[in-house]
Amino acid sequence: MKKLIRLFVFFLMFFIPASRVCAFSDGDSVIKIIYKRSYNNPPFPESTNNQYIIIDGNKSYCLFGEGVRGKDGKIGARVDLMKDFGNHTLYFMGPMIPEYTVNDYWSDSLPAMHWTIVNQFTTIKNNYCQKAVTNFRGREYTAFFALNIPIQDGPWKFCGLPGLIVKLGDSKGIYNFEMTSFEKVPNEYNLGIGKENGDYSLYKPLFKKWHLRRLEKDKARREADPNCLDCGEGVTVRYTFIENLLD
Amino acid sequence: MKKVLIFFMAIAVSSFAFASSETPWTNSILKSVSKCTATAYGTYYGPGGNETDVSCTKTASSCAQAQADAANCRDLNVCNAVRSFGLEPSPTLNCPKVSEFENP
Repeated sequence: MKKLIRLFVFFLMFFIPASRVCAFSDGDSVIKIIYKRSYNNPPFPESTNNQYIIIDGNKSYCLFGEGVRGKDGKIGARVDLMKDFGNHTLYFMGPMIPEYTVNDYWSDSLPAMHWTIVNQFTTIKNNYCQKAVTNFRGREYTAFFALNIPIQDGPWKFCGLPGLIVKLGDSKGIYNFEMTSFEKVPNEYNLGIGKENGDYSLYKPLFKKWHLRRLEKDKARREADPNCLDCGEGVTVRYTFIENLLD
Repeated sequence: MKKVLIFFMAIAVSSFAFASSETPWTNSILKSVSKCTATAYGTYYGPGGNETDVSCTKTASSCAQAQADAANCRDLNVCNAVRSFGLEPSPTLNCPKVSEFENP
């Protein structure tokens, strides 16, 4: 009898949200997901911000901020990355001033990581979730995806699980994402990306070169004027990359 | 009598030495008490999941000044990080204009 009830609840969880998810194939509405993103890398204090995801049909946009409504009534926002599930390609913003600006994007495979689904279950904010783990570009991650929300998406580049990722964190506790909101909203967005310049294998060495040049320029500036307002002995600037870009 | 004279002379010399060394030592203590050190932290979440952490520790004659200097230094470094990606910093950061920033 107990097994029967469990089975019923399990199927019910699939059935109820299906009606919510179907809505995003309708052009009049999109799915808006908010993740609370925490970054905790001592000795610096923890910082948090929101990551906004808009799912419109086969495309998912990860935004910088919530967006701003323009004169035309549409909400515009800078797109950090876009997942095109139809073409199995992810596009991410990769500015390297002056050669590449914020309108320059790079492509990556979709999904970019390989998951191992683990036989562990839990309930997170009324979502029946299963655990999955992956090792992605230098960090080990544990994710919990909602079996009752069959959207294969998640925060940042993370996706490719049978359900929406509702919680994700790396083994060192530096990066953590937790879904705080999932809703269907009217499609008032005007989102798009700039031109694609190449794939991740091309981007990575270019970024490393650009970053090292940025460090050298900054060092030279500080040495030229040791008394500048943002210089001095007590000043520390540290760069951390979610992906291991400097190998 | 000679021993008593030597004893008093020794006391006089040591008192002088103590008095002459005490004044600057006391002053230096007073100076360090009147100084204040403050640290301001900031983190900028850049494109592609790149984080820039900034910490600025500044010392000034008053705590309010030290805090202002530290916050100003932190904001300037965050402005620098935002602009390194070709993005315009939020107005709440009170970043200097680009020309001022490049040639402070």
